[in-house]
Amino acid sequence: MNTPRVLQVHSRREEIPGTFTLQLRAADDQPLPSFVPGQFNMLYSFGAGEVPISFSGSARETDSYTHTVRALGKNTEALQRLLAADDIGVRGPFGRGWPIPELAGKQVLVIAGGLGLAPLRPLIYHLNDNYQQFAGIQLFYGDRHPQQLLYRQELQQWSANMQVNLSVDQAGPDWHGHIGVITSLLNNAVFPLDNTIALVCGPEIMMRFSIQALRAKDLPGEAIYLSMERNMHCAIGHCGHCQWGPTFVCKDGPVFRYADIEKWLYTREL
Amino acid sequence: MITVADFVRQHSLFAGLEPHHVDFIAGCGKLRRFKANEYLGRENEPADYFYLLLEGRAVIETHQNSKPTVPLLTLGEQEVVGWSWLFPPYRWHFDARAISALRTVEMDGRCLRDKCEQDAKLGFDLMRRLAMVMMSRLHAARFQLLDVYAAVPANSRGSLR
Amino acid sequence: MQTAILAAADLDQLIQLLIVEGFQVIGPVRDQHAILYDQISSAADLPQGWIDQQEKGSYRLEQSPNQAYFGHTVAANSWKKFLNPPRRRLWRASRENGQLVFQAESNEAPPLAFIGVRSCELHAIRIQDAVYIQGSHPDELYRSNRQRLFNVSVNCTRATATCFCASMNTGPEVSLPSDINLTEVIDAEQHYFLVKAGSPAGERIVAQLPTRAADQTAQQAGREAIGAALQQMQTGPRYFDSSDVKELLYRNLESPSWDDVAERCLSCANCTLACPTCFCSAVEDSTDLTGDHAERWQRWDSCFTNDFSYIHGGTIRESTRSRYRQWMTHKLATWIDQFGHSGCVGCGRCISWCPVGIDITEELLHIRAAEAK
Repeated sequence: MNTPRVLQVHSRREEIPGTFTLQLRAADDQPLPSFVPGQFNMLYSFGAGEVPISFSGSARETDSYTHTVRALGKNTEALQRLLAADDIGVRGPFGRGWPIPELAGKQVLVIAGGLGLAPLRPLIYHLNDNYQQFAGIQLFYGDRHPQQLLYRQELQQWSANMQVNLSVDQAGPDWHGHIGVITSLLNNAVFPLDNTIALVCGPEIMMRFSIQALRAKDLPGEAIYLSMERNMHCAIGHCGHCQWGPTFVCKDGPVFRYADIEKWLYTREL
Repeated sequence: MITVADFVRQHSLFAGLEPHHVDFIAGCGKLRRFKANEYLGRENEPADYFYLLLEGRAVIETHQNSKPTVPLLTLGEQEVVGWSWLFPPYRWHFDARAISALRTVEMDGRCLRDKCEQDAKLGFDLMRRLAMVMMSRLHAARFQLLDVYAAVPANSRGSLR
Repeated sequence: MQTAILAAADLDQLIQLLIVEGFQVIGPVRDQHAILYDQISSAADLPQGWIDQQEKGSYRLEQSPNQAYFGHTVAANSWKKFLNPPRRRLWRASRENGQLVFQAESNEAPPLAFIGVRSCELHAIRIQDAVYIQGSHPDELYRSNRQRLFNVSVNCTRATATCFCASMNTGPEVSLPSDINLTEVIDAEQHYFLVKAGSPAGERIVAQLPTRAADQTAQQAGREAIGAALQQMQTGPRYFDSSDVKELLYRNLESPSWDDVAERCLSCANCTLACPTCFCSAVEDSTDLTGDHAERWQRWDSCFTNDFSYIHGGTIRESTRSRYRQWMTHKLATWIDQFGHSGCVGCGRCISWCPVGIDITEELLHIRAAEAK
């Protein structure tokens, strides 16, 4: 697991300026290991460094991996320069994903902030494909500006099988959706306290505020899951970088149950 | 027939309020509809009323340098528009505009202030409910200020390496 | 297997047997003014007649009144550098005709034999085993070094002031398995080793040594020597009950003591490098000038460095306070939740090698005292 496998960029798509989606396929005829929504790969562009990126494609696509990346530093900028047919080094899948088996029969709240929608998209595909298995599905997605919204076409499509609630911090007069913050949407959300599971992914502060809004409505901490981000080098619990309290984000997470990590979420500089 | 009191009772602002208080408060309200783009209130104009939104959506907005308006916050059913009626000089701080056809209960601020003076217990309860709304708006405004989805969030711009 | 006696003069035969078996033998040597673990080729390389005096921020060697081979305590470095080298290449990559090819590094090092492993150090190796090879993604180089390792452990018959294995329940008597276990007995009349094999490989080696059976008196002498080391620790200032340390630290993540230690800590990372259980590493990617060859190297890293916890937007543990808290809380508390045992073996290296003399056992006392206030 220390040496990457060579995959090939099958397609590349600019989502919004600076954020792009790579679809990767095997360069050989060996099958790709399957993944669980919420897990991640370590992506390596030749000569740069490795970076952990969550899966953002459907887990049903067995012949490709899809990753949505925002170019924010040296390594993600190197990924940004990749074109179709370029080779890429991949290690993974790593980590624990979203608690899919627990969702059956439940009201599922998917709460995404900014790029946090990408790690939730494999889960949303699963919910959308099997929407009848759930009591209900509500997607809450907050971002900075309407032009920053990811997967706009899909958001439209998903709204056939789930309630899609969008919120942006700022907008021009031509935006007809909600302006404000995601917590305002959550404050007004209606869901049964005894049969709901909430899955949250976004900037840490957005997750804290969202969880506080859910807790204020008395949703139990056991029913809330979130996906954490920390520095990672090895992704297999050996390098120590991603330690967060008693956990290794790479192998015990990135998805955690809120009730299990509440103490650590509020400890500064942990 | 559905009365104003029924709408008041069903609005989240007054959830759990005692029935006689609901009737008392409903005496200050009347149903009012707005067409899309009609203003509920405009900056610096007298704020004699506030609105319980029943259906449709409204936006709180402002403007600067004669540029297009800056929308600050959108509000929908079960939410409240306006609290300038609570404090002198009773003038709107921002514009409030319907962005769709809107059904509301228009509450007469002066009437409600008088009733609160008469019944301090009701006054306290009403203030507490409005303070909750204001707290959540303040939290949201601070959350917005943090600009958490930016590539470089507001709180780390000074210390970026 | 029965305990046997090996005359001190015959210790070299053990080393020669291991060399003949193909092991690279590592043991304590005197290197300038400290004892280090390094490659040895005979018993003459051992620091016979030298002992260490360690204290907060202090390490001194002095001549021992006797000619014991293992009268010193733990060496300045630990065994971890031999099992997981401080710098190693993980793989090479090349781009040939636009195609990316990775070549994993293989382990061509000879099997290792450690001679002179103390009880705390056996615990430390077991602790690193849990990190590197017990999970679902074992480190192949470490595993191969570890599986081929031949371990000659030594019971401590002396403690230095910084030793607190008695507090961490990891010594001084060896309780974990090793291939051969030695207890050195020395007095005016005699100098010998009590020898006990702990594995079939150990038995095979011991069978080739010129030993004789150890009688009750000889074994009693060994027990007394170990007892002396235990007593030194039990009557010293670093003897404490460690059973509630995890809860103590979990309750005190915001203790004012962290501010106090941060005033002194230089965030220099010495403690993490000297520690036999600290396992953190970083990887570095590089390319050559042609741009067609790339490599990834792994090197030891430390939670005290600035970019250790860097994510986009900034470093999470910006303050020294948070870094010391991370190190100590990990070592003594969160480690227990991660692996089921403490990450501290009480070897005292972090105390001796801290340039400003920060003492982990004293910091525990400070936290306890601050809580009681």
